[in-house]
Amino acid sequence: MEFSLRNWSRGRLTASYEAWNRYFFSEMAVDSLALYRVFFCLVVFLESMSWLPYSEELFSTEGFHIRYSFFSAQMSPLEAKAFVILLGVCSLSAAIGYYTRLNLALTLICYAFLHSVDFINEKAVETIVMVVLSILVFSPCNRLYSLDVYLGRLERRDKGSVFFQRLLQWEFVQIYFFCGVTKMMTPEWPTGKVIIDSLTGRWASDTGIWLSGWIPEWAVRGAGFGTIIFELFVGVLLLTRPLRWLGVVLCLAFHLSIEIFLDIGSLGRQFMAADLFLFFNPDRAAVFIRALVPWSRRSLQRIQESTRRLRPAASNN
Amino acid sequence: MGKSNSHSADQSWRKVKLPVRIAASAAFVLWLFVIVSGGFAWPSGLMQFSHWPWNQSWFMFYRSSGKHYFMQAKGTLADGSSAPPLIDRYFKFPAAFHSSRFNEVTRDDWHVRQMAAYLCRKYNREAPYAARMATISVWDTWWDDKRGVRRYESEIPAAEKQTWNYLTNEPCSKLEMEVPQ
Repeated sequence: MEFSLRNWSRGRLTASYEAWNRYFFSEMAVDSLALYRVFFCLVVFLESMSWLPYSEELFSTEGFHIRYSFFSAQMSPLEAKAFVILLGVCSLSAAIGYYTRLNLALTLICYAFLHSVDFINEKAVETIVMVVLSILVFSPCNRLYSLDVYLGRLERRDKGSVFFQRLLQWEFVQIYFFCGVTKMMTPEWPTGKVIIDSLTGRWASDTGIWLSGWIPEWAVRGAGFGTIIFELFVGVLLLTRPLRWLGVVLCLAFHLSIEIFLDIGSLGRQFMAADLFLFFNPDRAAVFIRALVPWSRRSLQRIQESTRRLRPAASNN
Repeated sequence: MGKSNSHSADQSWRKVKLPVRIAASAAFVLWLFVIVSGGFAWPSGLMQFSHWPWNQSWFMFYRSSGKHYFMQAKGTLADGSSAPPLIDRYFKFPAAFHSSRFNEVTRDDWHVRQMAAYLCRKYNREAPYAARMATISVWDTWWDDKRGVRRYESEIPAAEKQTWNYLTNEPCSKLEMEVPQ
């Protein structure tokens, strides 16, 4: 009995050890991670461009700043504008995959610096962007759908360690879950008060204001309660196989409705990109992506061949 | 490619060296511990155990007042006349509907004095000496949001509005001395 129990527990331990390693360190297709990089960085690029006309007020010594941080605003208006342009250039370069890793690191540095300067206009999405950039920098997201690969600067890799994608998955899942926990502990949420206040408040879009005019009380309460339930449990759907598609569909609908009814910057776009690209099985997603983007492989081969023909010396380096 | 790698035959994880796997796993567990403990600590009133940057993303729309707060400032020049509108001149970024960055600042004495000093300094740097701003007043007005309509401050009947004065004719010279540049 004792002997078999030991064997049994040893077997369970080995199985758990292998399952853990398979979950975190298997080699899987990097297509979805690479496409996530493209969309994520494009959203950061568009956000930086929206800051550009206001860079003097937001980031230079000419604007008003509360000096909480070590960095503070010490830039002239011209330097502030240059810094925002630099953020735009770096994020766009990271999106198209030009010196991807370097530009992801520069995007992170620029973004974190600008975030530290303008605390007054701080948004929750900014810390999420910084966490995601910190993970992407080390990930193999540059090995596909990037100019680095097309120009032959980096070797194309269809597969890479799934560890970084797992980190990103858990990052977004914990946000959903603890947002749900926080709302659950706030008495105004189950009654729907925060929902109706948001739809009539300063963050509401025109559609949100219109909706607030006729939405019935039961729907408001349902939306409040439904949001808590959704946020608490959607992580389980996203992380487990049988109902992952349902989790992704619910998340997309959730963020799309927020985008329609509220005006809160790039938060919804960042979450939708994450939900769409990060949670499906990377290998299965790659099959779908490659079927959907047939030009990716053909154009890659064509560009690589022409590059080799044009620059035979460079390709030997 | 077509099949999931979750099959037990998949041994590709062995390509990652053991020390790397141990370090990465330990980092993940530590990361998760910090997040989970902080995530439960904050709503339990133990804010000191929730850590940046994770705690920044948990409180999106977690509460609201149902009111629109609208902070305003008005300067008086040395000759007693009113200064031109200050907020529209120096705060152009639209933070939200009917709300500039001026309106996003924390409502307390320290923050308001910082902002008033900024407005004094900024205006007086650009104005001729004789037309300098002598005093500044900062006050907050708020009203209930109404379903189905957007309302600007000018459209709200006086009976619906409430006001709180933070600074009333505070001398600019005092503020500029008090708040470092």
